[in-house]
Amino acid sequence: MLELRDVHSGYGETRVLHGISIDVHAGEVVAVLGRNGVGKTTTLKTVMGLLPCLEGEILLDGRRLDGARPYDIARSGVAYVPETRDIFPSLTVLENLELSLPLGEKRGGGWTLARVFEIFPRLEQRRANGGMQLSGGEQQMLAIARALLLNPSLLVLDEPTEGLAPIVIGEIHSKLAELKRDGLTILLVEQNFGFATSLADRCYVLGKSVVQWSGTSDAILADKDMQHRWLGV
Amino acid sequence: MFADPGFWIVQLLNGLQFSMLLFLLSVGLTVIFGLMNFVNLAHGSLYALGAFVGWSWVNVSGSYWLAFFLAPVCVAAVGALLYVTLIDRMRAAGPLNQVLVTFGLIFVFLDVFRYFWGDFTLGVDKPALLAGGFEIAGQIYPAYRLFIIALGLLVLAGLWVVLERTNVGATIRAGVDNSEMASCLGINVEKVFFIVFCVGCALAGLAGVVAAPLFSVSPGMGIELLIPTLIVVVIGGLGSLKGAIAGSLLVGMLQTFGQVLAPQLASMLVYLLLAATLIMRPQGLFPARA
Ligand SMILES: Nc1ncnc2c1ncn2[C@@H]1O[C@H](COP(=O)(O)OP(=O)(O)OP(=O)(O)O)[C@@H](O)[C@H]1O
Ligand SMILES: [Mg+2]
Repeated sequence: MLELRDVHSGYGETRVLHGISIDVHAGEVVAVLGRNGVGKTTTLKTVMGLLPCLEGEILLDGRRLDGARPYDIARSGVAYVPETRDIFPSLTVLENLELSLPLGEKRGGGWTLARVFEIFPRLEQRRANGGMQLSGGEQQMLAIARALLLNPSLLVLDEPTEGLAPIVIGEIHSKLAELKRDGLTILLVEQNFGFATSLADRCYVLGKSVVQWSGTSDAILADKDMQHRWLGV
Repeated sequence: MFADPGFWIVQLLNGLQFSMLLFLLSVGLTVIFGLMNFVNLAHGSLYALGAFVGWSWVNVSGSYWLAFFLAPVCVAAVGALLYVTLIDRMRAAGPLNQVLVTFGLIFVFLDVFRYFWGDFTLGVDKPALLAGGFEIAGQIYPAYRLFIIALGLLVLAGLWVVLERTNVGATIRAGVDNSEMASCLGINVEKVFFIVFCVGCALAGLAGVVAAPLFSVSPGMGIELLIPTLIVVVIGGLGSLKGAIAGSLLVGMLQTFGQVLAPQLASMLVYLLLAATLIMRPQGLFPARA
């Protein structure tokens, strides 16, 4: 479904990615792992068109995505949950969700406000609250719910567990597992090794601006040497 | 004179009327800034353009009301042209270049006004309907000034409803908060920028055509009002409707009352207010992005 072929990217003069290749097949959950500052967020931002793809190409269902604007990429079915969550502070919870409706309804699919409130009941209770009055966990749920309402074919998540309490992480884990069971394709960036490997079918490990390792979650769990070298687990 | 309540009421109304004019100008400027991070110093020139175009429509048609509706449309069209040819390209150019280019535009507009309308002071008659006055606390107060107050309040209420209570408004606020994230939700932020820019220009044009019968129409009229408008934007806080309202009222009232109570100090008072705001609340009173 999503294919990164030898992607180079960075910020202005600074190159951060030197040829990354990642494949995500339909219905799969793929995790991208790696130490702090290795370029995981940069990879996702490049997929979303927020950073330029300087070399190489990005394909979604065989169609070129690189060079497209973020809103075109969203329209072709990629929904993004950024590391910083990026809830709109001057919008209420409901308004934050409603922003996704025009595109979500145009794309069509099973996600409606009612269904989102069903799996995240807390958001319904807080629907009139301002975006910034939410706890970290609630913000994360709102960011995921907002992405789901786009009726995406690919969900891109950047460190959904960052800064959350273990109990909230467990909750997010079970929601994502549910989405996986429903057949949603997910590209997940994580620092939380256990969280990522228990959700993902396959993993990519970034190190020194390139992909150092890739394989199934079972294989990564068995390869202690690699974990030590590139993840410091 | 100071003991007469009529005096205070009249000054209050004058202050309110000037505030509303400042509001029409500053609201467009501040929302454009909040949304696009773009400083358009030529905003005052669009106000003058509204007055000149209004003058021409009055002369051609004899009807102030036709000018009242058409001048904002014409100014919005000029704004659209500017956006497509210049401003869109300058978006990524950084604030210094934007300031230089739009500062240059002020002089281009000055020459355009002189070329088409001459370097004179032109007058526009008040519409017959509003030529009279109302008796308020023993004083005759011009109906036309009351009309400006009412118009300002109407625009203010309309903008408030649109921005705070509709999906379009939520989209604009999302764009001000975080335009990158908004575009990741499939929102065509560029289109939102363009529309908001044009509406901002139309409001500047509206301010111009409304001000025309009150002040004289001259090429420099936009420059005169640019400084107080920028001060309103800075005091109110960039990007917010609330800020534009608060800033306009503060500056409008201070300038009006300053002129009658302490004429020697009047021109300084607004700058003192600006300095005090910048020291105590550098973000302004109600910044859109806290
Ligand atoms: N805006 C920026 N300008 C310049 N360099 C940046 C910028 N953002 C990140 N970088 C650099 O790019 C590199 C990769 O950053 P990135 O955010 O992609 O890492 P990451 O793998 O997501 O890290 P983390 O696990 O901490 O989120 C880092 O060395 C960082 O310093
Ligand atoms: Mg990151």
